[in-house]
Amino acid sequence: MEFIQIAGIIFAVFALTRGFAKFKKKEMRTSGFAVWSLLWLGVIAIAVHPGFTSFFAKLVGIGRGIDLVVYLSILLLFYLGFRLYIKLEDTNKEITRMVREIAYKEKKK
Amino acid sequence: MIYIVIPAYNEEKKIGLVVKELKYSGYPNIVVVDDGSRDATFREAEKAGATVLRHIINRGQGAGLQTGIDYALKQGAEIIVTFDADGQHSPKDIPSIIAPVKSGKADVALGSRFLRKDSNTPPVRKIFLKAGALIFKIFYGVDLTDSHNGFRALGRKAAQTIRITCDDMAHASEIIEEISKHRLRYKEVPVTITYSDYSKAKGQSTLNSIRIFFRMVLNKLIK
Repeated sequence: MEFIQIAGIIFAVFALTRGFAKFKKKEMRTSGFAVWSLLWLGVIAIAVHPGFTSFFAKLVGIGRGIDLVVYLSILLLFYLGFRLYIKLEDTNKEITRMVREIAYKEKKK
Repeated sequence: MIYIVIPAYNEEKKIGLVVKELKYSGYPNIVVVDDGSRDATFREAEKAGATVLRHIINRGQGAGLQTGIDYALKQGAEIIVTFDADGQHSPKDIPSIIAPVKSGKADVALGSRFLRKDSNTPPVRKIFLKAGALIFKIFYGVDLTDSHNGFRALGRKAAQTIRITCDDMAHASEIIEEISKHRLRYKEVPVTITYSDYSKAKGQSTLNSIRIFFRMVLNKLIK
């Protein structure tokens, strides 16, 4: 076993335990924990048997398994980044709405 | 009833003068929105005789403008004039900017510094404004000579229809987009912009303009 495989498994287990701790404290929803666990179990599976990625890569038509993982990760990051941007804009708009209400209430006094 | 709406941020040095000048020119209904200023803007505006609203934290000129417009509408304003707090605008231009709205020929009147023989605009600013106008034409189908002018006159219906959701400087582009979206009748009116070292220093940075452009494109994609 390569070093990176062992390191990957250890890190994944660590991430899983952290997620579980948050879930127990109700700081993470079931759906969130499910997705989180799925992700890291996937990491462990790939770390234990890297050949898994080759199977999927050949399925889609990409040469190396790890390339597919990188491509998918980038797409996922773009999507998450976009979602965060939207959420941030919405939050900003809500803050402005509150500040506006306060301005009117102050005026009424 | 004409209401002048002035969003202001850290303008303690100029706001008093601006408000007084407007009052002497015959416009008693002045709404200043203090957008979380850290100086004496609120006090100075109130002293000069304006109705002042206060954002407890700074939200941006767009947000200040919408707050002022909403308040003016609640007071029964029939025509709302948006005016800058830094002294770049002149009350002498108000009669000409409200004229198209008053006569009913337009829903919105937009000030343009290029309709008159203009020679004071800094060249870099001019390039960006002209580029902005071209972009407006492509994106919104609106034909303007000046793409970023805070001097506007809005009829009551137009003021009720236009919703400014961009808090920052992109609100100027958003207003044009709203005009295009709701098919409001607009007319450009020549106004004089007085540049001073003070207002130039506070003006739009080139980087900001680029940032606003990207915001505009992104917002278009999202909607």
